[in-house]
Amino acid sequence: MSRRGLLALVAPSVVLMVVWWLWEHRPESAVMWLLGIALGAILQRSRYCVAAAYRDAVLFFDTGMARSVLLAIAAASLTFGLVNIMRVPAGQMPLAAQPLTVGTVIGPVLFGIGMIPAGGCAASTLLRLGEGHLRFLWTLLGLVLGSLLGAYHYGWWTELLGAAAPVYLPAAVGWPAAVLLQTGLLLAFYWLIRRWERKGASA
Amino acid sequence: MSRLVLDLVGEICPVPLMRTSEAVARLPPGSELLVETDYPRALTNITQWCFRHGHPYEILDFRRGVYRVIIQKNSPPSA
Repeated sequence: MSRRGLLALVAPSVVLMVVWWLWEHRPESAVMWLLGIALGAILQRSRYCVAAAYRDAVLFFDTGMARSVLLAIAAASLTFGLVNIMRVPAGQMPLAAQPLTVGTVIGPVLFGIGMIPAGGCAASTLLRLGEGHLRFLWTLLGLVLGSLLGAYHYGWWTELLGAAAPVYLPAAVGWPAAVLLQTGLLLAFYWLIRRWERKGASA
Repeated sequence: MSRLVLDLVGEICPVPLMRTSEAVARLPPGSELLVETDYPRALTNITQWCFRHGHPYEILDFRRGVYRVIIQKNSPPSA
């Protein structure tokens, strides 16, 4: 049997064995495991890359990836909103709303400075490692060390930048308006970068 | 017909597309460039760039983790 054939047999067997073991001990972890594998497969096959969304738009006037990231956020906003409107009683969905501070600007800029030379965000670092690009072991090491350092003095930053009360859009204007507003803004941004691409193509 | 080979194995984005576009810009129209890359995202970037700039391309094969793409420079002057 060829190496690929053997792998095609062994890999699903290992996945199913882990599902079976997890299902016995922690069923929610079995679901997480399967969702994680599905996500990884989709990210790999679609060559998904958040770093490319920014880099390709600026360097090559190619906004394909940037637009697909915007569509992904819009789709997530819509489904998250629909789940909340139709299925989940108010206040039962766990919230991750964070206040808007100077850190909201500094953090992403620092992450972006790291992401571009490293060649990928957290997800694409993992998927490239899985593809066999061993040099991403160094990126992963930096990611883990950086996250550890960040988590270690997170409290210090929160105190320094001031923890204002988060503004949670659905609580402020209601779910339908919040979903419409967010999706509308994302689509407007989609249209803007599409124009930027056309301008680049004609230049 | 001349054919230039561009070995990009080991290069990560955005280097593969930058070097490919530079190489295509230097080529005389009608000649071919053979690009080798082991970076799947670069393959997407390069083939989409060729499509948008009207350079015909063909993915020859994928062996031992390396993709080989043939790019033919189009006749009208392009980027």
